[in-house]
Amino acid sequence: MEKLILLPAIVIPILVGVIPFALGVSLSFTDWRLAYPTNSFIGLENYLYLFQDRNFWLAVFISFEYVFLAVSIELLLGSIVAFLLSRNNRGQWFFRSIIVVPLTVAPVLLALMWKLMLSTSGGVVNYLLGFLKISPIAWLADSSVALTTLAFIDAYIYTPFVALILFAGIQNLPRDPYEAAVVDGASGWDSFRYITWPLMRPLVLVAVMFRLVVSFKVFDIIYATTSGGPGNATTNLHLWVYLNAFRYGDMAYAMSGAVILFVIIYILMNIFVRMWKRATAYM
Amino acid sequence: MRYLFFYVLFAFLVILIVFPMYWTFTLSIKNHRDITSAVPKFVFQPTAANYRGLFTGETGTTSLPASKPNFPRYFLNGVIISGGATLLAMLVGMPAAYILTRTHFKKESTRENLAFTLLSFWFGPEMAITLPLYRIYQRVGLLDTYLGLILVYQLISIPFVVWMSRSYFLDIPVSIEEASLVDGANRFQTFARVVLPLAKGGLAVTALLTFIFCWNSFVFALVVGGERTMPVTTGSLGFIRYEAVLWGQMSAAIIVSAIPAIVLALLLQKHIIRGLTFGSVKG
Repeated sequence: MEKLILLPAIVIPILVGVIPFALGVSLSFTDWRLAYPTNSFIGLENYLYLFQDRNFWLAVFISFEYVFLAVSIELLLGSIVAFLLSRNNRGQWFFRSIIVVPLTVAPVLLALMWKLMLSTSGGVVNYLLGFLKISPIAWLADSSVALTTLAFIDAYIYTPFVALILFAGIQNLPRDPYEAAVVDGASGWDSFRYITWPLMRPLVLVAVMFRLVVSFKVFDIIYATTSGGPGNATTNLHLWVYLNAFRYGDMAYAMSGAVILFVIIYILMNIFVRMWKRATAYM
Repeated sequence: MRYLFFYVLFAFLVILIVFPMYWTFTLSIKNHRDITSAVPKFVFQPTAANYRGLFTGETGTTSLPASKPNFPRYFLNGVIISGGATLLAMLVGMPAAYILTRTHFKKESTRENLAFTLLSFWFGPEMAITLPLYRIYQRVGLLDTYLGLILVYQLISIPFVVWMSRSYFLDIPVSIEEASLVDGANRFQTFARVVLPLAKGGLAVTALLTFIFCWNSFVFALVVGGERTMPVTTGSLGFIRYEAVLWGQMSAAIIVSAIPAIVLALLLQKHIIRGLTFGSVKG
């Protein structure tokens, strides 16, 4: 009987999550358009078209590129910040207070802040770089740098996340093995290689996978800064779905792309959950 | 020497994190001429006009389209939607989490599977659900309504509440509850009289973080929200349609929208990482 209490927590997500998604999958086999109320079954046509659509594949590629860039920057900087935090006891409280701030402010708002600062007309970033004799860069408007710029904005927002997870891991490291290693004459690198890394690896993987899944479906940061442009240089799969749905009104076609996005996220998530279960078994 | 290096690196990182917020703040208290000057101004005459304009609708320019961003409305919408979503998710998710941690399941794996299935809603790509949901909401008249948004926000808030409160319930030793059960209290009485008082602090943290997540959420409000229910995240983008005209007000909007999150971040500093990892990393 007690289990009935679980019911609302299951029913509500089914109502607003599972049922819409199931409907969406079935609508991806139709010619559903934003402007028309009726639609008819067209079989696999959307999917066949999808696989020949160069813009779709480009969006898939851009999603992966974004993830790769953003997550590598975040892991690198995050490790440095975590290391710094663990080394400094006096400034720790202050520094921790500072770095949680980007994590709690809406990503859209932080992205907008950067949009203002990176502007080519009177933006402060180009102005400051001018002192280093770096000529102005069209950070968000030049298709060759826009995606990298976005990855850095992403890193501004989410590096603290990686850093704090790693820092929590460092703090929970046991002391004894290190002392034993020193007694045995191990070098600093040896300690890292044979003690720190094996103990930290599950947590590092969780942090990376977490960021991987979330940044693969990033939407707000891109939408607020470039809206997928210039051209489609920053249109990742999630944005591609949105643009096809609401700019071109082709809901069914957009939905077929959303199904592919879901499948990719689903696969990533399953890997992630398996790692998570393994990592939390230690904690 | 080594310490000096650490402190320099620290200072650099702090500046890197704080500068965008500082700069956005200065933009919000600059007048139009100072904002659009070709060389960014570090020294200027501060003005409250942008903030005043935010609440009165005065824009200080004449070249403005008919529809003006209605910031107080967006702020109020955000409070209603996030507050409503948090309340509902706590009512539904907290007891569910308790049952999930304590009730006997026929198969022990059911417990974990239920929890991870719920979590997958949090990680799913929003567009895959909101496109068909847009159609459903259109039919049943929930498009651009508070109820519609509060319901769809449950996809992020219920999983979060269940995971977070579960982690706090797990911190309470089962023996305390068993004592109460032996004394003749039933499961509900035990929950109300023994567990709730003990988990109260953690549950408050859970509620506040749920509120922040909803406050910061973007995609749902973009697709199934609208002019009437627009919260600050989608509302702040409204200033950008008139780019270079309303930068000052947009900065002011960003600052005002970010304040609730920043205040909570500083209060909940220690709990943020636990929240962001759904209770599994206790920083």
